[in-house]
Amino acid sequence: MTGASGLVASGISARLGERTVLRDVSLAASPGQCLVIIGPNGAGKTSLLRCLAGLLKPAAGTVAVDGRDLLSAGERERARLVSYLPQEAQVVFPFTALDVVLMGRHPHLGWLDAESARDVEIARQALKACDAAALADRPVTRLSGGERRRVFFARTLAQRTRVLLLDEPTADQDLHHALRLLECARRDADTCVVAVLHDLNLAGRFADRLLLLDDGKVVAQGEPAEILDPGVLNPVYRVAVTVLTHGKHRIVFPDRLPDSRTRH
Amino acid sequence: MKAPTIWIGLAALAGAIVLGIASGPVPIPFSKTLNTLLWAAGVPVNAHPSPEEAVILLKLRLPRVLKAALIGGGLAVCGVWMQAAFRNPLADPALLGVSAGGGLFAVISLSLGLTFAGAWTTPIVAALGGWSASVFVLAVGRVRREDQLLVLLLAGLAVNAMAGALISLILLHTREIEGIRAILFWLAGNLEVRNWTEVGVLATFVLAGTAPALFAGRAMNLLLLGDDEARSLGLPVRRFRIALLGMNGLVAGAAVAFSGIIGFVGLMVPHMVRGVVGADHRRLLPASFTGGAILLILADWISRTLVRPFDVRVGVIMALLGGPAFLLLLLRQKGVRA
Repeated sequence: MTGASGLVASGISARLGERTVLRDVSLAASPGQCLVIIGPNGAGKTSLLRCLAGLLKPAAGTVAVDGRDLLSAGERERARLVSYLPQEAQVVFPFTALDVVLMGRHPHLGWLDAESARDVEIARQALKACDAAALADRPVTRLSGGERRRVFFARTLAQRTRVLLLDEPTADQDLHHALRLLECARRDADTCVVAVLHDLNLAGRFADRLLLLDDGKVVAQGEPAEILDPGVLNPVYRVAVTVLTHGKHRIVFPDRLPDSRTRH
Repeated sequence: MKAPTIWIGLAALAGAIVLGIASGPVPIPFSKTLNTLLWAAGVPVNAHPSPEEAVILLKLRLPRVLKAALIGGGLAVCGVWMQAAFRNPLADPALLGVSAGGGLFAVISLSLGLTFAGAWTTPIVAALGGWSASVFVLAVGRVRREDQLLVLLLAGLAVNAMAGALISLILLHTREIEGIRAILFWLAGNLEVRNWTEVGVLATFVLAGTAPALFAGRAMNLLLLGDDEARSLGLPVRRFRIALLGMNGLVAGAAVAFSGIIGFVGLMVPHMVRGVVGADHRRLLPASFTGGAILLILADWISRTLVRPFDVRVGVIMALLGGPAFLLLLLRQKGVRA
């Protein structure tokens, strides 16, 4: 696997306390590609992202970025390779949005350095890309959930890493901002994007590849057209879906629960 | 930090120092106090102070005010550290039991008459107590990860109760009444100074403890985003938090050894200072040190002048000011579930 470009994870198993949350998961994302992880609640999506980010130490398996083993890398080196947007950001201290985005520059700065004009420029660009330039000087404690999320997303962009790991980046975004964030994430041809998304249609719209996770195992992996299929989705999500075709995209409509007979 | 803010802060500190030195049983006008201070600093002045005034101002009152400044500044910085380490604006060395741990160890050291390191003995022993209490609270917080605020405050409550009980036990078995009185007086907040050596030892502890943190401001900011975020930004969170709590035990422990248990400085000052300079630790740490110094000089001034000649202990003043402030913060607290 060494020498492979982009993010490569193989044979990952992980435990949270007593519970095994991931079993033998392998995946790859090439530069410029977007891999979207889907799956029902509790499937292990967040644990998988945390393993890829080096935050949860897998019991077995390897994670590498451009052939560099991530699990043995130092904290700072890892932070220059991989950035991570957690699902929930709770801030109780009144940093300004710009302060938060500038924190993304931390792994690129020496212990005593102050941020340079270039760092500030990078941070402002990132805010602008997320339609959050106007929030720069506002305390993040006073922003709405959606606004705060965009600021934290801008923070991962400002980190300028090879790999972007995004846990539900669009959860509280309106349609415009959801599209905008995902466009932003995959704009750079050198960046590998791995995102967890709940919205299957958004997932199909943006992913080059989809990975369907259930109970810690990879159920299916492939192009959206292969995965967004009633035969694949129904047993995992325990619903009956209808899949429509719109241009080259698939649209998943949750039709009914498998045991109910009435159609809505 | 904008230049005016720095100057306003330093001017306020200078004002508090002059006020603190000018007032006392023998009232000395501000102009004379200022004159004497300038004279002592080697500035050529028109009127030389009388020898009595020089002794009162420079030998008796100046060390006390400097001690108040060092204790207040140190405790305020401790508050900032603990709030960052526990990611909670309600953390404070006295509330979370660190001061009580230091106090207990200091009482043990005093009652056993330990002197293995001369004037440094009690502060060193108290720092050990501060560390023990920090480790205890941290460990309890690790076992129960949900409802962190509640768990931390209750762990602090438990440490305070246990340390308080053991201190009472030691006092009950202290033979001489005078010894008990001395310990009680010191525990309730003690800013009396016996000699300049004491101020020197205190300054060494506080400045050596707080100075390195000034360079860790950017890293401390990351800690406030949460463990996962901070780690994904390249901060070794575990080691960093332990280092912070280590310095906290050192400074808070030393503060207790010299001045007894003075609560709420670490809670009130960072909160007020954040309103002025924001949450960035590179500004917050030096500004909180200054703010803590000012607050404790003023609290000491109140304790000495409120009911003359009766000395209301400074720890009592701080508890009376800080208790309501804490309740206000607790009720207004947003974003943290208790």
